[in-house]
Amino acid sequence: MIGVGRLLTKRRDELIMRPDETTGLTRRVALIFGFGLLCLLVIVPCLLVLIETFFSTPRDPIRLTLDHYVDFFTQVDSYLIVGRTILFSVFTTLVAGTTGFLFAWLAVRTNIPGAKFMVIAITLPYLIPASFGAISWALLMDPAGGLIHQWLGIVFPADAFNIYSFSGLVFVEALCSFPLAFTFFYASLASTDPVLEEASTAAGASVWETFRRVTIPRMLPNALSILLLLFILGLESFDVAWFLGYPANSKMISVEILLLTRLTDQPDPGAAAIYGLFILFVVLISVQLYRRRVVRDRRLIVTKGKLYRHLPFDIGWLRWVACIGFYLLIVLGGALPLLVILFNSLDIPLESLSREVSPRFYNYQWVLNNEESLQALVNTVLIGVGAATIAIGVGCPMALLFLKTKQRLRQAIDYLTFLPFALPASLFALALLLAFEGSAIDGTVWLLLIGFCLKVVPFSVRNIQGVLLQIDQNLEVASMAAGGGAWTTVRRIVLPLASPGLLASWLLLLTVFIRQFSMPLLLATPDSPVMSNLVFREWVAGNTGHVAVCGVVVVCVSLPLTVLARWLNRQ
Amino acid sequence: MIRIDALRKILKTPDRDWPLLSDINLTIPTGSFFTLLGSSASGKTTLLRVLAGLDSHDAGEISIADQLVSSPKRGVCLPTHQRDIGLVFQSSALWPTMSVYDNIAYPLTTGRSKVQSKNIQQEVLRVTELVGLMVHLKAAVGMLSGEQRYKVALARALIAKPALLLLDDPLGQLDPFLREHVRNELKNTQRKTQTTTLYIADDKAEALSMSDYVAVMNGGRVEMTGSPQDVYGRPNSALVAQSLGLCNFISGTVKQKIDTQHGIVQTQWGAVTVEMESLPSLNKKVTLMVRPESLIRVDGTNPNIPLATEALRIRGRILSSMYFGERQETDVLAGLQQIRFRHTPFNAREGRDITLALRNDRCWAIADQAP
Repeated sequence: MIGVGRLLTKRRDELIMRPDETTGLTRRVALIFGFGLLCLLVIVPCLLVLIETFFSTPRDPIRLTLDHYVDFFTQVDSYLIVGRTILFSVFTTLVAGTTGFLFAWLAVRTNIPGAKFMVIAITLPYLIPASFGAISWALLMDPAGGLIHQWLGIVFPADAFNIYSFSGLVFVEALCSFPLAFTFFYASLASTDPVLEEASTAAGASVWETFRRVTIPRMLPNALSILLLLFILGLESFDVAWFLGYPANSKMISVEILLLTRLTDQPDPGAAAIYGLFILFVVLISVQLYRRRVVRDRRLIVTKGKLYRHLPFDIGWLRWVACIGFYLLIVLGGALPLLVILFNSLDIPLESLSREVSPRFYNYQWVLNNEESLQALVNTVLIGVGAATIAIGVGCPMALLFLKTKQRLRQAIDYLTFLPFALPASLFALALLLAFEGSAIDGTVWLLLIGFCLKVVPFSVRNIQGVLLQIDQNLEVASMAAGGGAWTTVRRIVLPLASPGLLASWLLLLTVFIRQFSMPLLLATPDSPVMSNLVFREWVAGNTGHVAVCGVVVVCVSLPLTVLARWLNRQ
Repeated sequence: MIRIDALRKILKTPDRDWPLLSDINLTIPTGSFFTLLGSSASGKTTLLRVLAGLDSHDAGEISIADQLVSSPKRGVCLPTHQRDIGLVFQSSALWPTMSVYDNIAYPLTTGRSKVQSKNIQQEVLRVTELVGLMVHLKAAVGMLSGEQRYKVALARALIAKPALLLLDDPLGQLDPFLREHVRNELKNTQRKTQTTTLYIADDKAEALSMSDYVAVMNGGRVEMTGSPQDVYGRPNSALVAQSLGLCNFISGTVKQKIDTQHGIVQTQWGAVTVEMESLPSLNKKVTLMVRPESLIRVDGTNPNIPLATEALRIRGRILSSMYFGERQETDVLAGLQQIRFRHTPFNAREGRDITLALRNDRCWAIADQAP
C-alpha cells in the first residue's frame, strides 16, 4: 500500500465525494442544466462572433463570405492596430506587474515603513476608474495648459513628455493597473509561508539574493496568472485607448470595435468581429500556455500552514526610498486624478491653486436638474443592482452544484469560468449586438442588463466557489450526520456561513458595473442612457465639468461599496 | 449491532486500481466501544467515512442496528442524513453562526430525529449534563476552549441517541494532559449511554484504555480484532504486535509439544514455554513476542524475584537508556540482537553487563515471521 497515502492526498477531491452527490436524477439534471447554462453564457458569445465574421456587411445582401478575413489580412491598418494593442498590453503588463510585485514584496516581507497602511492606501487609486484616470491625465498633461505639463516644462523641453504618445498611454494604463497588480501580489505573498526565504537567509544569502533566487522562482506560477490577467485587461483596455489613444490617432482593437459598430453610419459588425476573434485567439493561447506552465510549477507553492509572525527583512536605507516611491505612485494614480476631477467639478482651475478661487456648483446643479443625467444615474444603479443580484442568485446554486462534481467536469468548469476573465467586454457587447439586433430589447436597458449578466455570472460562479471552498467541509458533513438533508444543510449551515462572502461578491459586482465603461458604451443608446454614455457624450462635447461630476459620483458610490466589501471579506 | 460484510473500496486510477479497503468483516456488538487502530493511510478514516455514508464502496454490505444502509450489489445506499449515526470530528466542526445551544439542538430540529420544540430544551440540558459541559448555552462557539468545543460536538452527536456514534479522533486536538482526563470522561459517558461507538485512534494508549474491542488496520485490511488484552498480549502478527507498542522478537525452534497450543521452544539464550494459536510441528521455527515490560533484570541486584522460566537468560551489554520518570527503557545488545526492556529507574550505565529473564511463566509466539 506504499503510495496510497500520497494518492489519498492527490485524489482527495474524488475521495471526499459523497455517494449521493454522484447519483440521483435530480442532481444530474440540475448539473446538466447548470453546465449547459455556463456553456451558453461563455461559448455562445464566442460562437456568435465567429459566425458573424463569415457574413457580409449589413449594407450588402446577406451572403457567406471571407471578405472580412481578406480585408483584415491585406490592410496595413489592421496590422498596426493589432500590433499596437499587443505591444501596449505587453508593456503595460510588464510595468504594472513588476511595480506591483516589487511593492507587494516590500510590503509583505521587508521593514518598509507603514507596510500595513500600504494596503489601505492602495484603495485610493483603485477607486479611480481607468476612464477617469485617463481623463485626469489628459487634463494634467494637456499641452495647452495642463498643470503637470507646465511644471515639467520648467525643467525639460516642451515636447519631452507627451501623454498622447505610446509611452504616455502605457504610463497611464500601468498607473491604473498598478493597484490591481499590487493587491493580487500582496494577497499571494501574504498567504505563502516565508519559511523558504528564511531558510535562504539562514544559509547566508542576502535579502536581494533571496528575492532573486527564492522568492521570484517560487512566486512564478502565481505571478504568471496575475500577469496574464493584466495582459488580458491591457488587450481589452478601452478607457485609456479612447481618451488618450484615439485623439492621437493611435487606435487599439477595443476602440476599433466601437468605431466599426456604433460610431459609424455604416456599421460593419463582421469586421469588428474579426478583431474580437483575434483577441479571443490571443487570450486562449495565453491561457493555455499559462495553464501548462502553472501545472508544472505548482509544486513551488508552499501555502502558509501555521501562522506565525515573520520577522521582516531589513533593507536598510532603501526602505525610505521604496516608501517614497510607493506613495508617489499613490499620488500619481489616486490623489492627483481625484483632485483633478474634484476641482473640475467645482470649476476650480488647478493652476490657480495659489489664488483664492471660490468653488462653483453649477456642474452639480446640471446633474441634479438634467433629466437625462438623472435617468443615467438611476439606470446605472438599477442595472448594477439587478445584474449583481442575478449573478449571485444564479451563480450561487451553480457554484454549489459544481463543487460537488467529478474532477474531470470540474476542470472543464474551471476553464469555462476562467474564460470570461479573458474575454473582452467589447466582445460580449458585440455578440449581444449581433444576437439581439432589431429585437424588442435592442437599445433598451434590458440588453445592458443581459450583457452584464453574461459577463459576470461565470465570474460570480468562480468567486462564490472561492467563498464556499473556505468553509470547512466537515461543517456540512456534521450537519448531514446530524440528520440534515442537502437543502437543510445549504439553508442552515452553508448560506449563513457564506453570507458575508456572498454580500462582498455582490458589492464587488456592483462596483465593477459602476466602473465599467466600454460595455455600456457599446450597448446603451440615447433611449437607455447610463453613466458611461453620459461621460462619453459630455467629454466629446467638451463639458469637462460635467464629466468631472460624473467622476465624483462614481468615486462617492464606489468608496463605501469597496470599503464594505473589503471589510466583509476579512470577516 | 453493526455489521460490515466483505466490504471493499477501490480507487481507480488510469495506471492501476488501488485497494483502499479490502475484505473488511467486522461485527460491533450493541453498546460496545470499538476502536479502529492503525497508522496513517491504513484505511481507518476511509472505513469510518464509508460507514457514515460520506464515501461510497465497491462491494460488501453495511448494516446499522440491523438496518441495511449500504450494499452496492442490492443497490442500497442510504444518504448520511438518513443513517442513524452521530459523528464527532477531530476539528469538532461546530457551526460558528450558531450558539452552543443551537449547535447541540440542531439534530432535533431537522430530519430523522426532529422532535417538538418544547422537548428540545430539556434534551439539550440532559445531554450537556451527560457530557459534563459547563458553559453558557447562548455563548458563541468561537469563545469556547478546545475541551468545551469537543464536548459540544459530543453532545450534538449524542442528543439524538444514535445507534452508532462515530468518533474520528476527537481528542486529537487536545493537549496531552487534557487528553488523558477527557479520555476517562468519554469512556464514562459511553458506559452511561451504552451507545455503540466506533472510535478512530492512532494512539495505542487510547485504544487499549477505552475500548471493549480493538481492530488493528493496515493497508486497508483489518489485521486483527479482539479485546485490548488479546490484541496486546496475543497478537497474530509482528505487525499487530508493533502497532500496539514496542516488542522484542526472538527466534526459536519447537523442541517439545505439550498440547496443540503449548510447547517448549529453544532459543539462543535458553528454553522457554510458549503459547501459540496453533503450535507447529517439532523443529519448526517460531517467533517469540516479548514485550519490554515482560523482561526483568536478574544480575544479582534483585535475586529474590521469583522467576518462572529458569532456563532463559539473556546476557548482554547496555547500549543506551532513556529515562521517563516513572519508568526507564534500556536497550541491551545481546549477541547480535538488540533487546529493549522496561523497568523501574536504576543507574543503567552504558557498557555495563546485564542479564535479563522473562517475568511470566509463558511467552506468546507466532509462526516464524520476520518483523
